[in-house]
Amino acid sequence: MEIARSIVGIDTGGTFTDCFALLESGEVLYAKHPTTYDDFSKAVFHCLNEISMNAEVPLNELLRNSLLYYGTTIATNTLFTRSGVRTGLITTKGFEDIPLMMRGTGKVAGLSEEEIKRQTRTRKPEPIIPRKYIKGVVERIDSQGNVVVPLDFNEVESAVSDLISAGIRSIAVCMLNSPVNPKHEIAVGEYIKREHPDIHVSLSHRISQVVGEYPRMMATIINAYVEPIVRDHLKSLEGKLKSKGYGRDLYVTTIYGSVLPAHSINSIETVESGPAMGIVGSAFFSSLLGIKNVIATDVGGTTFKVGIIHNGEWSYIREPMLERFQIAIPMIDVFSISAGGGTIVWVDSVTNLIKIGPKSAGSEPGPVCYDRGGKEPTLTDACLILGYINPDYFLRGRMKLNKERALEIFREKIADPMGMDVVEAAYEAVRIMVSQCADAIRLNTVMRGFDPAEFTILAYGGAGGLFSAQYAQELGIERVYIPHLAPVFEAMSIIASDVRRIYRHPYMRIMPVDAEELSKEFLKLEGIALNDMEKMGFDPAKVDLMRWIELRYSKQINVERVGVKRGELDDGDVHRIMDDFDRIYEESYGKGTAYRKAGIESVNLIVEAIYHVPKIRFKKQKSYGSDSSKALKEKREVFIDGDYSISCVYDGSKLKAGNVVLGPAIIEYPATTVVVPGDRLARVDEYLNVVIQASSG
Amino acid sequence: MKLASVEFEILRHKLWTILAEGRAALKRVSGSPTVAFGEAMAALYSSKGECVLSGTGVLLHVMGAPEVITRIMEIYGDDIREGDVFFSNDPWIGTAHTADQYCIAPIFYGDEVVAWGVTLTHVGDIGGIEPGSMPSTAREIFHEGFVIPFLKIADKKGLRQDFVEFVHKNLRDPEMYILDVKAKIAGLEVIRKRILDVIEKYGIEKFRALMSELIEKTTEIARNKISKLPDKKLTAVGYIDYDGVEYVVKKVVCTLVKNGDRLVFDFSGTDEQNPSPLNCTYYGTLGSVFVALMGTLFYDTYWNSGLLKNVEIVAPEGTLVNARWPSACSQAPPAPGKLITGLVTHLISRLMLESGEKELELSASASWSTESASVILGGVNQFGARFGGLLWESGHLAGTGANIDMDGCDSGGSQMHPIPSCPDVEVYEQKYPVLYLYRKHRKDSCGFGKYRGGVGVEAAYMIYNAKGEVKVNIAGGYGGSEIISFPLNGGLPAETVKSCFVIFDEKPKVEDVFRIVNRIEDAFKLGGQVFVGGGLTKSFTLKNGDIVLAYSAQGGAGFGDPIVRDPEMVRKDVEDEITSVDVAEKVYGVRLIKSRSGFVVDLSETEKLRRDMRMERIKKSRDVEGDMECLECGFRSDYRKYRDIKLRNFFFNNSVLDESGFFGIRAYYCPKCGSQVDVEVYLKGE
Repeated sequence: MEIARSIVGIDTGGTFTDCFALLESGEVLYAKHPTTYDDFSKAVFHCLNEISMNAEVPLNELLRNSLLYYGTTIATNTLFTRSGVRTGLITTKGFEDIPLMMRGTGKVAGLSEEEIKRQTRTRKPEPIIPRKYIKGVVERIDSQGNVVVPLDFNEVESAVSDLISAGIRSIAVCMLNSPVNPKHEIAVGEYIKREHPDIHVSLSHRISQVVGEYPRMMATIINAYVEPIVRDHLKSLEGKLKSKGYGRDLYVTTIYGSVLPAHSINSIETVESGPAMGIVGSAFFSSLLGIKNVIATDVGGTTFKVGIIHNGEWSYIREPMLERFQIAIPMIDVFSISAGGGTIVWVDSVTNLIKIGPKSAGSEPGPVCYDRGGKEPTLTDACLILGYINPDYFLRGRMKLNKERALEIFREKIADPMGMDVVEAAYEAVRIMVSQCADAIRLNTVMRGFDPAEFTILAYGGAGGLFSAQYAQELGIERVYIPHLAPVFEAMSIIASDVRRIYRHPYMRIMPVDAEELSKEFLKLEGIALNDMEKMGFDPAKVDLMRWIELRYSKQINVERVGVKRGELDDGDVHRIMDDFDRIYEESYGKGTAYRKAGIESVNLIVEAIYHVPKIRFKKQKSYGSDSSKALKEKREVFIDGDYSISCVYDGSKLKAGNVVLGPAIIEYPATTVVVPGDRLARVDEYLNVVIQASSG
Repeated sequence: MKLASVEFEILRHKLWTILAEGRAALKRVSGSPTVAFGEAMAALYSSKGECVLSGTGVLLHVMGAPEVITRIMEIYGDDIREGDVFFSNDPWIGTAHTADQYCIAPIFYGDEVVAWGVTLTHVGDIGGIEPGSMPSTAREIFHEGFVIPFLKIADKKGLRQDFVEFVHKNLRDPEMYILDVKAKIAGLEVIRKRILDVIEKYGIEKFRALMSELIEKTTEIARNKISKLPDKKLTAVGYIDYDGVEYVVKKVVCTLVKNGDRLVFDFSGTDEQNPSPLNCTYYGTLGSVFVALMGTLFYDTYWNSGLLKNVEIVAPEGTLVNARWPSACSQAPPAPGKLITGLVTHLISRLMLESGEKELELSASASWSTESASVILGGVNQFGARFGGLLWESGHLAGTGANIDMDGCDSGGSQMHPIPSCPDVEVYEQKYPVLYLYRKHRKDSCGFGKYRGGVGVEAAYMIYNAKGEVKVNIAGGYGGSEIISFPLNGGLPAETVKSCFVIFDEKPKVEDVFRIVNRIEDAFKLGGQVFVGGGLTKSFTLKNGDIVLAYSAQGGAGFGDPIVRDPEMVRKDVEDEITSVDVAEKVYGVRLIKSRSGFVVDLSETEKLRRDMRMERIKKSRDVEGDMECLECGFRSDYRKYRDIKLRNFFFNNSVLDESGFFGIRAYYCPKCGSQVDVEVYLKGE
């Protein structure tokens, strides 16, 4: 691949499409446009055009010299709106109901604690494939991969023909134990391709190599359901880009934080890549700033998300939740609660308490102050009432906010029923928000055995600057970074990513295993990985490989992965793996929890293949000293720390590296606002990030 | 002191998070599959031992701990010190059976106990006559492992060595057990530390105010909700057909008396305790009653002792619902605990339906599953190692009851586990020497109705690749002829749990077996020797190739007359393999025509069928006294029509396990329009 001279990251989100470009000159540009649901590529070109204009480079020249990374919400959106193609499933006879049983968990999966408590009214989501399009065929492979019942081809033929005559366009194939032996799935796949080349086929062992049929089947079903639409979109976008001069592969972001060429990605891998990218970006950012432990927080319109980076590394969820389905595609661990700018504030008539969420006003109709018909008060309205948000400077003043209306609704729906003053009511709503964010952070750190006070907070997303200083304070966290590019942080993060793919193979054995066999199995898996990387267009010689083995104590449930050295393995290495497992287990679960006596079982072999992409280098700004008076815009009355105060309001775009702002203060950026509480100060660092810390510090 | 409302909400959320953190810490350390799949509790109690708040762990044990704490305070008095952890697993003091074990720790602020933290898990083995400590052959409590009313197992210096030594001499798997104890202590430690953080930050007075307000508010909300129900006295009876030793019919009688702001559940009339472990002690009954109430009437309150104040339970000693020491009781959750939960769900739902309050009507539910018949297996596995475990479709894939406006949830779980989670087939096959032949929704297993219950699940398992013998039994239910399912407003009961063991002289070809078996009834087509049972069987010693077929996850009961169900919904159920064409026609009165893409409803034939069914109901039934108001046609009268109906023809030749055995089903109709207004199960000869 010829080295591109600039890198452009585009992230299509639920509300906005963000674009971030790092030009050859080192200059950084970004653009933000509303996502265009009728055709996602429109917003992509709105962004590209704006970048080209601001860079003063014609679009085709920009594209010719660029490498494009693209994060798309199309798969998620297709699933959430149930607008995928008519899809069928072929599975092992006798197991047709697996995706409908959902392991029982489907009844409550993805619901909040409050919803779960209403036991008699929770139900499962509408299935993606109705039962009549699920066909079982006679075949059976055991857990060791032996064929117990051969595949009955007559049944395959009649299943496929039934599905096709029902108008099915895409078929998911998922058979029991296929990660151990995919023979039957491959045979069915070849048959469909041969007889019906226009039908999309998704084979479960190619989507996920994880043992445990429900989440693997779900990942395969969702892949099949969205695949034709995602493919068409990527193809059409690539075509449009090509016609404007783009000559390289389009790279697409994944749920596990990597980028892959559009032509070799499984559609399901593109879901929820935005939050994953936020964590990749946070890790990149923290290494840039030399911080080891970071709590990445993303405060958006509807959710508050938390990710933990410990010693520079993030962790994965083995079976993440997509909508209300668990899928066997590893996702970078991001925890989310329903609390963001658009979250609705309400009074619970049973307990007579102010509550926030889980409902959100979304972007349509949005908060009351948007004046687009929103009738429920939101946290954004509260921030406006408190004076944090400037009604005349929202989105660079492109949108005027109606403060009167916000006051009116807040009074009517919250303050009056609670017998409170309206400003007080808005302040209490914000306090609840801050407190719940802090609780979510604490839960996610304590759960992993960490003390939040040993971390630094990174806050991004449109509303990150509004609340982060306050939840950090509550957690006793010293320092908060609000990145200079907080509102387009995920788009920026994309270009911090590498080409990376995870390959697994089930390996159910009792440890210690035969070293020679283990070496052989790893070599085989590495062969598959390198072959795949080569097919994607990467020189195998430049691909880094890493080996892992997943182990657990028998009788136990917690699986931990242990790094394995490359090359030939001997018995000593196998015992080292077991010792490492004991150690890692105790590190994760506490001293004395290792349970060697029960025996150790291996579960999976993992090979991770990485092709390193050249990284961005941000230019350091020179310091202009602490005086921030040149950026002072006005003074206005703000309700902060439980009282009114006259706060200085700064124009963020005029702040220079080294400037210091004393709290209480407000810093206004075109797409976000930073609140600096009374006993804190904000410092602008050499990358123009805002760092909030104690005034004395 | 009274908290400002926002302060209350912030602190409440904090407390809830602390308990979630405690539970997370517990699960992390434990690593036990039972704990990971939901059997873990972490809750906070006041200095007086009242429950302040519990989360959505397992619900059975929340209300039992206050008694344990009270007794600990009495017995230990001044000897309660910072860092102490007390242990209890006594079914006559707080838990439902010996395998459910509390760890309880005082939370000191200064030199005063300001609260108590409580954690609980269901542990794997605690001794007794069989591994797992829940033997169906137990005849007294001594067979079910050790019983410790209370014991200080840890102090400032940590876990006490005397307790550790005791465990090593009494248990089959002491290391695993100690890990579970450590997990509970780790959970308590997190709760203790975080509560102290809250006290440091907000002050002890606010913390105390929070605890008392949480209980007071709950009491007040519960009282308000109870007051909305009509004053009434209702009785329901649940029959079981097996006492764990032989087939005899026993009954659990529950009378709900609602008066003003009080609810009384009176179990007078319940039969005497069983000679087997199918017994509830008082605490098993208390827990089972609250499992039903928390998910129905009290879903939107905090779950704490405030709920207890206006609810009274009368459980005569020496009966199934309050077994005397030293009776065995290890099967209590589920049997007869889930039966009690079913009865209470039914009774409270009837009052909720009559309340005239929309919210309450919507949350009322026909009964869920009343048995959890797990397949329990042990022996030598495919790796040549000794193993023991259970296949857990039963509790996690059972169907739920129907509501006034919607069907129950297919394979939706049990009331006692708010978060169901059945392991994957592939995971079980990796761990145990079994090959699944199918795992699927059991067609027609739900209670039919205008809104049907959720269907349950059946599965078949072939013993496979075992390097030795494997012992298998089914436990958690009854004999298989009982019909414990309580429908509402003329809906029908769900099918009873059944099981079959097929033992071969000559190992059959797997492929042949795989092609032949699709449902439990196919057990007879295989040529082996078939043993038929219900939800509680003796233990069978099986070899490779032998098969267990079990409909172990029961369906939920139905709501309303099946012949007014929307024919489109019936059509969809048939396409979804939930309902058979036969039931569509005979029970729902819906005629379906097979089409190229599925089925279509023959509307005029359906109308005719349904008209005929009504006519026949009126013609072929007899009058009986009793006030009724028909919800379909509005007709009011002082009599109604009734007749006996036959619902399911199970394949058994064994008369005890057939519906023609002990019990009959009686349907009641509106004399004017023939709508089915009520359905009940009765004991023949009574």
